[in-house]
Amino acid sequence: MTPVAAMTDDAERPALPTIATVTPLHPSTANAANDTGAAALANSLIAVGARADREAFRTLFRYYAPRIKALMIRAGARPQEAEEVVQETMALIWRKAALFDPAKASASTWIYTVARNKRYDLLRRENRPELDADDPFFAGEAEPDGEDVYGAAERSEIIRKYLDILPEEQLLLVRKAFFEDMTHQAIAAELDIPLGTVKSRIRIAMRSLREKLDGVHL
Amino acid sequence: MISHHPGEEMLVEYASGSLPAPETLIVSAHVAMCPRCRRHVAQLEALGAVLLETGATAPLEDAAFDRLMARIDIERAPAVVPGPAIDTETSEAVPAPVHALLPAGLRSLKWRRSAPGIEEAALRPYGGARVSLLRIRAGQRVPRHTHGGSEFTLVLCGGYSDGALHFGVGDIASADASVDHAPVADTGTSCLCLTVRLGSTRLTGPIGRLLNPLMRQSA
Repeated sequence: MTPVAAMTDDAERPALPTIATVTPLHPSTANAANDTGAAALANSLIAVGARADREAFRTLFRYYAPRIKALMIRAGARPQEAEEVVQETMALIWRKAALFDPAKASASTWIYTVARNKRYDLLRRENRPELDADDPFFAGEAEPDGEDVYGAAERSEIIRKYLDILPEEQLLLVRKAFFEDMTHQAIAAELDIPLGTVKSRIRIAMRSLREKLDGVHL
Repeated sequence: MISHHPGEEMLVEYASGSLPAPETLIVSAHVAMCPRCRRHVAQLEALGAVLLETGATAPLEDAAFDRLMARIDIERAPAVVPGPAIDTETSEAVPAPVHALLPAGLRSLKWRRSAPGIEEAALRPYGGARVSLLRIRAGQRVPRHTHGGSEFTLVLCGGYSDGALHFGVGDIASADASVDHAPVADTGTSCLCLTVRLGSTRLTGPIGRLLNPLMRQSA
C-alpha cells in the first residue's frame, strides 16, 4: 500500500510538540493511581465488559484518554492525529473489555497493551502478532501463564517503589524506551551516549526490578 | 547477537512496542513457546502501565467523550476476518503469533527443495522481511553458507548444532554476513524452523505520516 520509501527513519523525526502537562519523573511525586484508584479502574473496566456500563467507561476515559494521547504524541503524532488515535483506542477498549481478566493483569496493564498494540499497528502497518491463551504451546507448563508470585496490585506497587529509587539517568532511559517508539539505537543517538551504555543501563535497571518482582522465585 | 533467548534489552523493546516488526514476529513466537520470557514480558508490560499512569497527560478536546460514544453507537464492530483454517498438527508445530502468516495448514504448504534434505516454504512476508519455514532432514548437514542480511531462526521442532552451540525447541539464533557456518540437524527427528530474513529497509517512522491515509479514510 504505502511504499517503504515514504517512511523516514528516526533522524528525520519532527520535533515533538509540547505536551501540556509534564509530570515529574518519579512516580511518587506524580499522580499515580493508588491502590483504591487501581481497584476502581479495574471495576470500571469489568463493568464495561460485563454490561456496557457507560458511566464506568466515562471514568476510564477521564483517566486514560489524556495519558494515551500523550503516549501517541510522544511517538510522533500531531495533536489532531493523537486525538483520533485516542478515539480508536478507546473504541477498541469498549469492544474488547470483556476479555479483561483482573486475575492476570491490572486495568492499566491491559489498557497499556491495547494502546501499545494500536500504536504498533499504525507505525508498522502490520498487525502486532498476538499471543493466544489457547495456544497448545502454553499447555503443560509448571507455571501458569505470565503469573508472578505477586498479584497485579502488589506488582504495580513494587514497580512504583522501584521507580522512586531508580537513578534519574536510568529512569529517563526507561521512559524513553517505553514512550517514544525509540529503539535503543535511536535513544543512544539522541542522548549522544554509546549504544552499549544505553543497553547496559536498561539491562541493569530491568534485572534489579525483576529480582524484586520474582520475590521468592529466586 | 541474540542466541537462545532474546536479551533483556530486546524484551524491553518488544514489550514497549519499539522493536521493529520482523524482530517482533520472531520474539512473539519465542515468547509463546517460553514461559520464562512470557513472565518477563508480563512484568515489563506492568512497568509500561505504571509509566503510563505516572507519565505526561495531554488534554482532550472538549466533546471528545461524547464524540466517542456517538461513534460507538453507530459503528458496528469491524468484521472479524477469519484466519486460515489451522489444523491440530499445525497448531502444535507453529505457535499462534505466526498463524496469520500461514496460507493454510502445514500439509498444504508449497515446499521447495533448496538443498539435499532441506525444504523451504515461504509464508506471507511481514514488516518487509521474508518469512519462511525450513524443514531439515534428521542428521542433515546444511551446506556451508553465509548470509546476505540479518536473519533470525527459531527452532519449532527438533534441533540442530552449529559449531559448539546447540539450538533446541524455542531457541532463537541470529546470523548476518559475518557468520559463515554449516549447521547440522539433530539425528532422530527432522528439524522445523521459522526463519525471518530482514530486508534493507526498516519500517519505522513518525506516526503522523502513516496516520494520514487512515484519517482520510475515516473523514
